[in-house]
Amino acid sequence: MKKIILFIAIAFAAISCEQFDQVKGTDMVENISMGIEITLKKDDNVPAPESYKVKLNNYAENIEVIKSVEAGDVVKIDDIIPGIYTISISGESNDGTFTYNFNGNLSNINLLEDNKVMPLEMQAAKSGNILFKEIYYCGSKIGGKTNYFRDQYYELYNNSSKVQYLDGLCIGNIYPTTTSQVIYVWDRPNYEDYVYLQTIWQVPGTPGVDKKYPLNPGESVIIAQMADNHQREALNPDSPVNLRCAEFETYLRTTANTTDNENSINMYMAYWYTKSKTQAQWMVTINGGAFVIFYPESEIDPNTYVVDPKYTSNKAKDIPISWIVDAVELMLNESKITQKRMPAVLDAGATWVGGTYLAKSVSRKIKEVTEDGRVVYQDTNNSLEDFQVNDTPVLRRDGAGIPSWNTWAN
Amino acid sequence: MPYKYINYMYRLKFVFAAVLMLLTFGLNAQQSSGGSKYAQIKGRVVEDGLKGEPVGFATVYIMPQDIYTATDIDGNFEFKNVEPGKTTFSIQFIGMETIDTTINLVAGKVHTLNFKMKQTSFRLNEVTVLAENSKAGSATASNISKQAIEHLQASTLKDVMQLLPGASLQNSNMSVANNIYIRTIAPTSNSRSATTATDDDHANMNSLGTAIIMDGAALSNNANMQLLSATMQGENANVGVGGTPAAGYDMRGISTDNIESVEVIRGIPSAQYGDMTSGAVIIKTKAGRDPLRVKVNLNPYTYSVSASKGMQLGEKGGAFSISGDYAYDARQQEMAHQYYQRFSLRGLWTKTFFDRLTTNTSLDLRYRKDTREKNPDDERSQIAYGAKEIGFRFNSNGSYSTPEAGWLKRLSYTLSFTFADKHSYREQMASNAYGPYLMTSTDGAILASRPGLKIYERNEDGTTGTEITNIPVGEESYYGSYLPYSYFSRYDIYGKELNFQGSLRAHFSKMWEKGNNSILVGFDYKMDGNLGKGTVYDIETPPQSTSSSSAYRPRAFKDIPFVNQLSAYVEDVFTQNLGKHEFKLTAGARFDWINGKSIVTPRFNGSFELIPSRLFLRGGWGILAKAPTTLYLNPQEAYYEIVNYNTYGNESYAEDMQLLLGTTRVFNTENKDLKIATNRKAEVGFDFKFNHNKMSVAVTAYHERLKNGYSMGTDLYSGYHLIPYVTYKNLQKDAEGRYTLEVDESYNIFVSHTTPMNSLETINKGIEYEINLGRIESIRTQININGAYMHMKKVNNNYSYSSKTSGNNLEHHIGVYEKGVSRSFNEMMNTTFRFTHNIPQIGFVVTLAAQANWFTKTWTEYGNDTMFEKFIAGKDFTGADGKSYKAGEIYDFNPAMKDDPEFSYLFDTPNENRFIKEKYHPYMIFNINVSKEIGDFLTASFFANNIFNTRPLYERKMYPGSYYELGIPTFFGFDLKINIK
Repeated sequence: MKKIILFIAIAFAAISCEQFDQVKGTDMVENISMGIEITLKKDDNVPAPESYKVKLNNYAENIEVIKSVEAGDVVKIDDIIPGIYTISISGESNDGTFTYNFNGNLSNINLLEDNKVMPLEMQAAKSGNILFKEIYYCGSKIGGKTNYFRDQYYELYNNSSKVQYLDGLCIGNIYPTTTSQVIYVWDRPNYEDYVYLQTIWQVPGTPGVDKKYPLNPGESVIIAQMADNHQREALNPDSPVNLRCAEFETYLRTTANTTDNENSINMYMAYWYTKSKTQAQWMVTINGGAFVIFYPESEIDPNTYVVDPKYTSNKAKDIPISWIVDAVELMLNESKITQKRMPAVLDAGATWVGGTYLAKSVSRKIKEVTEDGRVVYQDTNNSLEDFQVNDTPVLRRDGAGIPSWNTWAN
Repeated sequence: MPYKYINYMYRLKFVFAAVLMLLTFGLNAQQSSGGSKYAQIKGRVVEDGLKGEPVGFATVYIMPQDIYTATDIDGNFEFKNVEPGKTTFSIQFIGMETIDTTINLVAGKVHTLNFKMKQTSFRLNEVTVLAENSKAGSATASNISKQAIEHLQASTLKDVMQLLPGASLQNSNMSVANNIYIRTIAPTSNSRSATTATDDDHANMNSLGTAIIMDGAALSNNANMQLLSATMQGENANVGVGGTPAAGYDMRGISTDNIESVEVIRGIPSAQYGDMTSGAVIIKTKAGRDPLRVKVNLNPYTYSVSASKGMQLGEKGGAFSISGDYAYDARQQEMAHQYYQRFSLRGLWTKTFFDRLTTNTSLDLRYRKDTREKNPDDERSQIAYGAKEIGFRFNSNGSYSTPEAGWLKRLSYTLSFTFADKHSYREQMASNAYGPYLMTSTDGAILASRPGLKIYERNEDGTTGTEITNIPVGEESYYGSYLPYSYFSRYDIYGKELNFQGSLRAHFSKMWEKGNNSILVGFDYKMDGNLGKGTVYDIETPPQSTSSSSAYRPRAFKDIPFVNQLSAYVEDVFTQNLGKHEFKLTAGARFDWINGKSIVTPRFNGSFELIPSRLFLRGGWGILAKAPTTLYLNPQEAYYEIVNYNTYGNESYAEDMQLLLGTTRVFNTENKDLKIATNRKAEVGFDFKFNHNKMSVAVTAYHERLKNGYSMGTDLYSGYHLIPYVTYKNLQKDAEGRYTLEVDESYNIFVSHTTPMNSLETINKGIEYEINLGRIESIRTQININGAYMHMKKVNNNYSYSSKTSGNNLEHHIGVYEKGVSRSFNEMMNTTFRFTHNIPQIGFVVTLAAQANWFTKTWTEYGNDTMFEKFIAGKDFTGADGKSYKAGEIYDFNPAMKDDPEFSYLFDTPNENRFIKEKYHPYMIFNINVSKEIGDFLTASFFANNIFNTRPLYERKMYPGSYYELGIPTFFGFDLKINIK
């Protein structure tokens, strides 16, 4: 009996050794290197960045690597654990007056072989003079139960040191309004050079010609969906804002004649995505839309557009990327990042308050405060980096100024 | 009157004249006859078995003499002075197998006949668990016995409709209204989360046009007004119990327990039935001599309990039965707060008076409740809605024999009175309701936000001008307000539906050697009305309006006039034997008068025995008509509210300067020219019997065309109104303290509403077939195959519109597309194989139903949906062609105007995929039903639907990536019946 047990024990050992051998025979995973061949698409007078910040994300394994690398024709990155990555590269250059941001994305790349070189084209985007300072989009709740979304607003700020004129400035949101798994590829020549907007509201006036609405450095304007005191009894006493002081209002004319704030300047509806208007207000999804502001270089013709192939009643307006002054992509939360609607050159990342009807807002982080007390906000065309989440929206945060022609704000 | 109907009027007159002639002939014949010309019959009916107990109050009916009588308490019956000849005796009693036998009656002889009736049970050799076709020569119909209803474990009568050729197998579903459809590709009802049975207008019209006749009187949905506003919500909306007013009767309210037989007339019904377009379901209930019977029925969503007892009230008292049932259906197992309940109590009394007058009188008490209580987890919308109904139905029908009146054999009558007290409600948190609400219902009233306040227009020079407000007399206390963004709102709808029907019929018949003739003459009176309080709500929290200018207003139903229907009909059934070939013709006409509208509907059915006892050719042609119901005859007016000035609640103004000024417009939505919907039916077919009448094949090809079906639609001429809309600014007070306003903008805007229309048109054609292979003794199995091919074309013959706007503008034109620009088609073919295997010795029956759905196709054809035919001008303007156009007028649209910015915003890009045809691939469903008698007093039944859980996925060609799940969810149930003697 003992012999049998001994024999079995040895047999097991022998077999196990073999198994150990097998384990031993597995190759070690070695880190690999990869290269990115960068082509800069820019005007000649725009300087090239000296270094790049590279961020590699492996969402499946939850790995994030951030490196700073020297500029060169081929940017080399070492020490990467093989897997599937999304790589974003950003760089900055300055020609004295303007800051130029370069952004590029490579999504879902399979990094397994060593020394693989991937091509990437990056475009330059000017750091805007006018930019989105704060956006409150997620709505609030009445008594903790009923949803309220009429208090959405967008605050624009003059981030430069010179006066800017808002006449003819347009604000719009990208189609589709909410992130969707369907990535739209529009049927249009040179389609990557355009953004496709769902709605466009315009400040009255012709850009570059009229000077009725100056905005001095350090001043901001508020564009309200409904410029009313949202905290009053009939609306939502739990709303965080009173928008009676808003400079502009996106007022939709209906026979219900909702209280039109006679002081706030009604913006002009330059484009609407569908011809049957059943809404009583311009509400962009409380999940977060993708917004742009731009100066149109020619009149916006509502009769030329691209049609949504599935819902053919919906049409988007194509606007050249070169017109865009600033852009922010908002979405419900981090999980939607793969469904980005905004081209990476305008906004490489996205920002979110993380839910709906939370009465929270997003606003830009301060980059610096100049000697004369003027606040300069961060704008690297990457809202993931540039924006912060606030527990409650504050109108004209950080002491932004009110334009002189706004006589009704107190 | 249109040409067609004048034609029929002549025919009707001819038929009447013929009847009168025959009557006089018959009476003459009677006076000159002696007693030896007739046969006499005495008989007794007893129960087959050891005890041989007499069957009292069984009906004995002889054909073609068309005479009824009933057995007395000892089972005895008598017929005096009966015309001799080949006579069919039909003896019926609830719970017993019907006796059908043919006896040759000899003139001058006294026939003594004894009959033995067998108890219906699964121990019989032959079980009847399927639908049986009617005899050729009368309307194409399916007869369903009580045994079939029980074997199928039908919760409502809708469930037995799947026995008809072409019907698809469905699960019982009591969470939505159970409407019955005839010869149409019925909407599926497998979803338990739907709130209405269907949104399909054509299906609802088919169901509205199906008459449900119980004990001689129709179950009427005509006075159902339980919805908030047909012009705003559409006619298919409803709040709970009783289903939508646009469809037919909701069969959930009728328990299946007392039903003796059901006849579903798919073809052309006899002229005695009216107020229908699709067909009829004739339900007969009877009192019996039943022992106490208790039944329990269970399936995953429903449980029901019923009990019934029949008794004999002594020698002269007749038979009386009482029954009660309770059913409870939970919408979904995890949602206990949504459910349907039904409770009913019934007493039925059958008695024969003076050996001549047989009557059945019943009283039904009903209670139904359809509820969706507040979901305890839903704090946001807090929706709760439901409906309750309590009511009763009194019905008496019977027959008075007149054997010595020559041609006149008997008179029959029906009297019925129904009352239903309905209460529906809906409550929820209104959200984004920020909008105006003015109290007035007067057209043109202009009110401010303070009662009686007058506001004036301020002229350019600053002086005070004319009054802007328009306060109607008596409305000085009314005012307008602006509703808050969110508030809790509830509305109640109280209906008190009344229905009365009375009919009187005279039955004539005459026999001769080679044939016979039966004539039926009758009169009907029907009345439907609603005396309810109507829609009621608190004006401070009105129901939330779905569009910016339309508004709701309360309405009292008792102000609506009653609908009265008077009908007269005559029908002749003529049978003649030509050698061994029998020729039968049923010809009839019915005249209906409803609240001033009238129509004549002729009906014909005929058959010819081509090969004696083997091949019958048959055909039919007729017109059916369904009168408009209360909802379509009296729709509520349409209300609009527009705000002329609004600083209401704007704190930047002093409180006395915070004002609202609004206008109310009211439009009548009645369609005085509403016609009666008609369905022209035509069919041909044959019945082929072989193998000693054990096997048969019946094929019917039909073609039906429904015209002038009812729906709510926007009419080109009366549906759009161009109204002035003025906005004001700068509120000031003048020297005398009066309020003045300056004109800001002046527009013309369109408001639109629906009106009842005759725009639905359906063309149905198909072939129904039934193959009965009889019972194969060796394997004790009956094989039956039925199915149909159906093709439907559904059109809504109304214009469709484009009322889009350009930019932030209120003014626009309206583009009008041609009438019926889209026509939808459905086509399907299926075959159901049923194998019924029974073992009489142990009272066991099992039926396997295998349905093969060969294909189902749906597609839509479009006319010119990219260019307008006409347009309605939204303002005065001069076109690019130099022509001047006036606001509010209708003009033809010139295609060259498409790119003109004046119109270009109205155009839309239609989806290129809209022409794609969807065609489901073939699939099969297998159902099994088992019944077993246990001992003497217990019967247990079990069923399982879609036993193999086949739910194939079909990928839609129009939207690749989205799928339909074909088939039905697996479903099962259990039933236990206890007879306590």
